[in-house]
Amino acid sequence: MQVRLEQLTKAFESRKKDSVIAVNKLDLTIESGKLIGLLGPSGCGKSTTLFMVAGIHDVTDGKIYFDDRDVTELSADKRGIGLVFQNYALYPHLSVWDNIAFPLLNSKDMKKRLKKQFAEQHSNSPNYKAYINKLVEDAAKLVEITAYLDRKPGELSGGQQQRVAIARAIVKSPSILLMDEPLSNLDARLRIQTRDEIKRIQQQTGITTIMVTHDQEEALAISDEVIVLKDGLLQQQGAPQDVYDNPANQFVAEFISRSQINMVHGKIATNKLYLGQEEWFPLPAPLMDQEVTIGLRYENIKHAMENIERSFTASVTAKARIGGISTVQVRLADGQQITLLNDHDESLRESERLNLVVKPQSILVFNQKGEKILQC
Amino acid sequence: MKPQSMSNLFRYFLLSLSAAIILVPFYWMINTSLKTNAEILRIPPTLFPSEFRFQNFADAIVKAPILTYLLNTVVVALSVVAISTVVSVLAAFAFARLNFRGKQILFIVILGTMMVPQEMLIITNFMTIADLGWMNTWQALIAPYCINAFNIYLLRQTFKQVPDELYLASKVDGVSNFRFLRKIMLPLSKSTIVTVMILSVIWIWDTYAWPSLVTTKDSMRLVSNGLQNAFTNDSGRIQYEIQMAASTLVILPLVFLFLMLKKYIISGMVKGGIKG
Ligand SMILES: Nc1ncnc2c1ncn2[C@@H]1O[C@H](COP(=O)(O)OP(=O)(O)OP(=O)(O)O)[C@@H](O)[C@H]1O
Ligand SMILES: [Mg+2]
Repeated sequence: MQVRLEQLTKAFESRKKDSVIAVNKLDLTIESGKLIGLLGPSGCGKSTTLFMVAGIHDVTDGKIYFDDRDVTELSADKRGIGLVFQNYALYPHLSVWDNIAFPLLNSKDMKKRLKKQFAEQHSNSPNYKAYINKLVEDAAKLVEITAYLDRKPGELSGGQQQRVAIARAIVKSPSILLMDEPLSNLDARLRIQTRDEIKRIQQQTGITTIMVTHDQEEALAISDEVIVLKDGLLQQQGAPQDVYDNPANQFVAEFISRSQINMVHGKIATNKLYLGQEEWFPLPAPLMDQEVTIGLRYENIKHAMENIERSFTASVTAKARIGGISTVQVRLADGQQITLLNDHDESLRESERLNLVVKPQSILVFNQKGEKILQC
Repeated sequence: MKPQSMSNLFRYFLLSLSAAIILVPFYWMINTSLKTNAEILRIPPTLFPSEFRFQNFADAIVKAPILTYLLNTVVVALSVVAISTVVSVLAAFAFARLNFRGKQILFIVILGTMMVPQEMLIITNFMTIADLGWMNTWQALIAPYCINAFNIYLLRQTFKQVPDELYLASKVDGVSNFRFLRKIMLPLSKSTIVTVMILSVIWIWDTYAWPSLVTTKDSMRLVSNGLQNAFTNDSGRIQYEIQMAASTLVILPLVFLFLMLKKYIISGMVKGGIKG
């Protein structure tokens, strides 16, 4: 199902006069069957957006459409969504089976729907009870927790609990699956494993899925599309690789690069770009003279053998190695530090002078407001 | 000795001391209940009966309608437990989970009634009961105990500790408030609910002034006020040994109940955030 937000706004009234605008005039469309990563730093309004789509939060202003249906005023249980909470929100006193079956057995509307489905389908199940059991087991099978159906949530690992939560959300075959930071309570290894699981489950079911995360790596790894928010404002929407390669502004560039980017002070004067105080190269198209910030990702800065076009020189100040990744720090003439990957682990001496070039189309130039004015 | 065990020693000393202070009256009750009438009057009093007179217990049952008192008390206690638990659970759920106009103020008002001494309420309650013509009726004994501010408070605190997400998840799944309360809240708050029930029973068992006030007939008396006047001998003197035997008999069910449900009571108190 397609999800469309139109000027969606949420203001929280606070005790003091000024209310907090958590989500600000959000306009976006999520295509049917896609896995969307809703990305942004803490407090940017991700959860609030998700909960408005879910129908848990009222909308202050704007509209929410599922396909062409306006669901803005519809209560949560009528929207046909499955919701997975950050802390799983499993019922601790119920077994895994009971947890998954809970939405099927405790809602009047759902019971009506299931009874009808059971009557129509003449499914293989001999009776209604067996039919419910089959639905629960199918969901459990999908998330691979059939072995634990008799256990209580407290007897499961975090990753297993998360799967139960997903099973509970998809057992009622929702048309949209919403997940609020489903991986943030897992350790690093489990997180990678579970995120791939989510991708697999989403592909198998084809449910339109919105996954909230503040981890850009997570979002980039599995999403069909990412949506970046900051302070309740939409920053960028697009395919992960596209957002990564062509960030819309300085915020997105920094956020998505996970600080693996140098933000170097520079300027534009008489249509030439200056890196620090040094003239670097002439602009491809004229721009106003101004102070700028130049974004250079670690992996895009390369060693050049000699003084070629658009190269610059800097001297080595330090080397570091974290796991398999070696980096070198170099200093520009004006003292600014730049970090780059030392791909081949070359043995560089301190204060050795290097000729450096930047991969084409990966020099990001931002004005003082953080808007991107040039990428070349 | 390490400071750690020093402070433990001190802690145990304090605990033993307070246990002793609480247990002495109990001991004295049982001690007295086993003495002969002559030994009771001895000065100084004896710490241990010189001969056990179990006959006191038989006398107590024969001399006063203890069984009637007990039965009355059980009827009142069960009614109060049933009604006040339902009322407390529903009120606490509303205060913990629902949003309605005037919620804060109403809650403060209910808490406020805890600050008013019971003795003050007794007079106005009595006038109400008398106006209703409820003297010597069951409802007079039951009604004033049906709303219990402390129980509402304790349950609300417990309900509030059930994470919001559980409630939101059930909302998304179309589960009604009542069903959520029954299927999720109550099972998760079992120990506090048992505590609340026990507290109600103890309250009824111990209550004295109110039942004395609204009952004049012996057949409507509870154990607390019934035993007070039951054991005067011909010369108008109270027969303490028999009174104490009767007291021991009526307290036994309560002690038994407490021991059986100790686990729940303690964890209920801890869960409600009221630590001893
Ligand atoms: N119930 C509320 N009342 C008042 N303000 C709120 C409420 N919920 C959220 N906010 C505010 O709205 C803003 C957005 O909150 P939100 O929970 O959507 O952030 P988030 O992007 O999910 O952050 P996180 O990654 O930390 O979960 C924050 O500034 C927060 O303080
Ligand atoms: Mg959040």
